[in-house]
Amino acid sequence: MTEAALDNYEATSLTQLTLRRFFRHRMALLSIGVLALVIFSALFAPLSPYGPTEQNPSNDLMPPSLDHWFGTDDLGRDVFTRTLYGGRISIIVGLAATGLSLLVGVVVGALAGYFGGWLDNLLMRITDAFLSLPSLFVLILISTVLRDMPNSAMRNSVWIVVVVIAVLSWMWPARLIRGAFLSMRHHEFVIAAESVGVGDWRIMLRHILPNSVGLIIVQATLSVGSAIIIESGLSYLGFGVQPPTPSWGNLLATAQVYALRAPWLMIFPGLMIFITTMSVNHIGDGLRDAFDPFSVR
Amino acid sequence: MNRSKRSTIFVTLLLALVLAISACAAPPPQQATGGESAAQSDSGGQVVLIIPEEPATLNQYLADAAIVRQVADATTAGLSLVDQNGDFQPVLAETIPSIADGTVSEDFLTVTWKLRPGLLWSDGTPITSDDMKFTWEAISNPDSGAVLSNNFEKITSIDTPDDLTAIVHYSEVNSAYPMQFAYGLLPRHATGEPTEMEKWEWNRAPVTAGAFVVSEWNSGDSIVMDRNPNYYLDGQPYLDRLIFKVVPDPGAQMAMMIQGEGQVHLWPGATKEDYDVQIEGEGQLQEVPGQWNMALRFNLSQPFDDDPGATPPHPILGDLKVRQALAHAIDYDTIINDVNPGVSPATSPFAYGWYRCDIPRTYTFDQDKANALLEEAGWVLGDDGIRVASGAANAEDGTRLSLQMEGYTNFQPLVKLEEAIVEMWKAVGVEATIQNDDFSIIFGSLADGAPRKTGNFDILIYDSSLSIDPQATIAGLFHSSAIPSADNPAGSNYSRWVNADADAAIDLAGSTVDVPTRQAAYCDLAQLIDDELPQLHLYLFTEGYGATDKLSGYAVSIWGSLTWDAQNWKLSQ
Repeated sequence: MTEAALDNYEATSLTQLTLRRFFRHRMALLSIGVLALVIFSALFAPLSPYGPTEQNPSNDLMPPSLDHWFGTDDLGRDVFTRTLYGGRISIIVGLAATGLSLLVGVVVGALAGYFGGWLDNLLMRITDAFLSLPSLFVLILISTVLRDMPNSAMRNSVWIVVVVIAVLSWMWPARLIRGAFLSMRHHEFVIAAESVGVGDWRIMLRHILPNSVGLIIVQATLSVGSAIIIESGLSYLGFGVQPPTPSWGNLLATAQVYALRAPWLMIFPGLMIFITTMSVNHIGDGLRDAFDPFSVR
Repeated sequence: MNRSKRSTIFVTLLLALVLAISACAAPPPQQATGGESAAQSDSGGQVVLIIPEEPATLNQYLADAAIVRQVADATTAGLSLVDQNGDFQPVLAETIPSIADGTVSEDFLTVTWKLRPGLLWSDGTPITSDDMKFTWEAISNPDSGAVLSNNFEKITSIDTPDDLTAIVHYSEVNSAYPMQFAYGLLPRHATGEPTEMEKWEWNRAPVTAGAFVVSEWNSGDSIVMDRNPNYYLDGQPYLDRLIFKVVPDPGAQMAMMIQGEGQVHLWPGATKEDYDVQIEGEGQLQEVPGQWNMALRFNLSQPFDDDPGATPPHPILGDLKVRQALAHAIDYDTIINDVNPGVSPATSPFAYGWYRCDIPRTYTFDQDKANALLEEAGWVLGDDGIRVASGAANAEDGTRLSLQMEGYTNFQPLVKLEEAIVEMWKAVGVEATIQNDDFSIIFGSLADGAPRKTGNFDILIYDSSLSIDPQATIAGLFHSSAIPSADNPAGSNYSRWVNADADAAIDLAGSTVDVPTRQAAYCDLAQLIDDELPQLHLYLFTEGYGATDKLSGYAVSIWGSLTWDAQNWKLSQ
């Protein structure tokens, strides 16, 4: 390197490199904007002139108009308002359930993949056991147990929904992360770290985990959409978000009955799920590329 | 691209496709044909019946969930049935016993049944009068777990002078004697000990006299029934096979009907207008005349106290004034005209049939009266618009007037009704939340911890129906001796209502076969119910079955289940 070149050289930190790569991902940037818009509109839902449960049954199933941008539902409620309010529940459920399932999945997968042996066997058999549980029966069981809670607020809490979804979905990230740890366990940089006396936990947290971030993020982005959909399924079984509280999932579930007669009931919540899922996916793509040291962007 | 990412993209594309399709206009209209007009049919073939839930048993005496009868009737034949016109018809019996032919004694305490000669169970064993005797022994055994008592407890003995004759002796008049053995006979040789009835293998694979025999039961998926070769009617049933497919999701149910994967669709939960548009060209909704009576059932007893009995009173609903206020706060016209149009008003459980009793509604929509009653009852408005106790009869001061309303899932008209009532009650300062449960939970047994059996609920909301003789059902619902308990798990007085006048009216109606006397007694009971509000009846609605145009030979009946006449069904090829 010449001296002139050295003068022009600017030290670039890993964070700067990561950010630079992320900001080059246009779809990810656009998606952040879209997702921010969705979140802000949910936050400012109370500004709507209609209440989320305000009914006008004689004005039911009206198509979109200037008064009701997304039309009205089968009790004459404003679908736009309910979609905005529904976003609050769905986004919380999607993000929190994903976070919780990832937390459990990453811990289980990392321990199993790194230490191997009997711990790997034990954790993976537990994972297999959870995978083989018929989710319907587990849900009915949970519902029955919760049924005896005198406090209905506890039973219908969004956080219960979050926990239930996480309980039923942590196994997939666990297996993925286990695979990643298993493979990286024998890479040169891990062996090098071991050879200079770095401890197991430090290797896991400081060396292997950062290299698995891309995988974790991809898994997370994929999980958000499915958590939103699972939430709608839970209401069929008698727990979760109960009417008249709207969520995108239960708005969509209600819309099935009117699929042909009032398609707007399906279109708008469906579109919101679609937009949110796609945005999160694109942001995930951007983050994965940004964290990937082999990325060419 | 990893597998999960591929699936997400697939799901995303699918969602986009669904959105695109839903935005399009309805498919081009085709000529719709009714079930009867498609009678160009031959024997044979199989019919897939889409059911929203799986029955726990096919033993009709063990379950009171409506789904059991809808499925079990295909594999059941009793001594008699009620046809679509409300007339009793003999099935395994030669005739319906009557005073005219001397088979019923003048005091109605002895009834002689004659079986048709040559009847066989599905396993080829002869059906005899001893099976009738065994059916009584089993159902009347207090340890059998039978839920549907069907007045068997009134029988003192059954004589069987020969294989075809059974003489039934009653301790008191059984006004419903023609229906005594209508829910099928239990074969002594193929069942087990009566005390073990709940564990009988027979419950899920019955040796039967009915038109079809269970050949496969795939839990959570399907129940397959094949033609009974020993069915008493020559050449029937016409179909070879029935497949009851368990599909909980309404969207998937509809998709199966549209694609022709299902031929019969139980309880679609949609109006005929909506349903017929969706399966236009494939079939239509066959409406059964209004049969289901939608009602709120108030719990008059303290919930969650580990005591399913009638005391102590419910902190909120134990006060009649609160129940009256809740009734006054409901806008019945809006419900009937706008929320669920097409339904008809009902003010009592006796809304149709020979026992019909139309009484004027005592507590009409009047928010001012509702507010005044609540104030009078010691419930004052709180800061957030919801009332709190201040001198209420059964609640500590400061208790919030918050109630949970429980129904069942997957039925949108019920959800709409609940949501409408929540808003109506909110307008008078009552907070109500909705909790809808799976059928298996809300209609479960005491042992299962079902809320209505344990008494752990505030308000139940669901529909129910009465058969041609309502005595057993009415006594179960409103007699003070029918409050569920460990000693009486079959009891169904879920409101825990105790009223001596009501007991007397029920006893009177069950003690005679004189129709005017019985009708008057039922009307007295209806008035008591409307006055004291253990239940608040809202409306009657029609039940529907989706049926493909290729199916013929069926008759919808207010008195029968979906499969009551499955032996007559034909499928055009």
